[in-house]
Amino acid sequence: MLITIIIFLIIIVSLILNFKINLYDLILEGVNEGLKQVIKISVPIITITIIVEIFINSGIVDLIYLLFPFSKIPSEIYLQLLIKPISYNSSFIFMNQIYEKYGINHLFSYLSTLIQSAMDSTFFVCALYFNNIKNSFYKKALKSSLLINFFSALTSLFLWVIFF
Amino acid sequence: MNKICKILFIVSIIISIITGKIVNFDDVILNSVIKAIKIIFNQGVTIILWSGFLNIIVNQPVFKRSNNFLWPIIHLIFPNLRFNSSAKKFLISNLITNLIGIGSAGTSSALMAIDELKNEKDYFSIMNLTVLNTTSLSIIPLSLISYRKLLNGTISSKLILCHFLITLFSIIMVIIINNLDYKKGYLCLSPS
Repeated sequence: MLITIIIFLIIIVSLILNFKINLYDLILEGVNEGLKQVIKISVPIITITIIVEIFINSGIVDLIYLLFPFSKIPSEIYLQLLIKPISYNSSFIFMNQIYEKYGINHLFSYLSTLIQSAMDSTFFVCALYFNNIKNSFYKKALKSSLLINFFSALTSLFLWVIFF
Repeated sequence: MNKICKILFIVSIIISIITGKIVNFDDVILNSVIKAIKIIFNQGVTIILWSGFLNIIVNQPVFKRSNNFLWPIIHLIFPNLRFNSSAKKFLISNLITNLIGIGSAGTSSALMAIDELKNEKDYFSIMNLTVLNTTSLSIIPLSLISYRKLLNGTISSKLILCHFLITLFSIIMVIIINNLDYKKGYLCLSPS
């Protein structure tokens, strides 16, 4: 992350040196736009977080645990896969549980890391980007995203089997 | 979204009654609001910061020239986008920032692109952008690598290669799905 930020800052400095730009005005304009965006996205973030937290804390995790009692792959992996499109933080907790249970350099820990990096929290992104837009494209976006998430999960499992 | 929220809410209530967690319901609601405020604060700070920096970059002549250079790639991902669309520069910066691993900057440019696309009533491209951003879209997963480093885990080259292949696969999937939808004629859907 630090390397990326340094690269980004070098690009900005080189641009400033090469072109006559109104740095203050541009940053002011950008920050103003950013602030407007933050105010706009606050309401959907609060709403979706409340719904997701109620869902995660309802005991659904305990029920899902019961579904995979005899699998060779730990049940935390299945839970991570199922929860990831709904909540990034909750799936992060399952990844941590796997790290603690098997050790960070274990095969299952690698799989968990791959799953964590393979997809984003789909419901959250959809709610955020389709804020105030009520049309049929939302459904299609959600369906396509979940389909890609499913195939990304399968790919990560496939690559894990091949490489590890 | 209304339907999904309704289903999630009803399912949560039923399950919490079965598991007996309904007694903690008020704590969960209160904590979720606190958590949401924390998310807004963390996300908000990064969005504001990166919006400022991104505004410098997208207004540079070099960046404007690169827009045309990157047009074939952008058009492949966003088949409905017009060449002279004002959202193009934000879409390009979204793609680049996501690929180099600055996800927070990506969110900022995505939101700016959505504003422009809304004005142009190009809902199909908003859908494409949403699908693109729900996939893993970084060449190297920097945050997870730094987290593994923090816990003294090994960063194997296999892990990075696997992530790169997953990213590549996701991008290909996004291009295929977006173009299939475009050819199927999702443009006919009414944006009511």
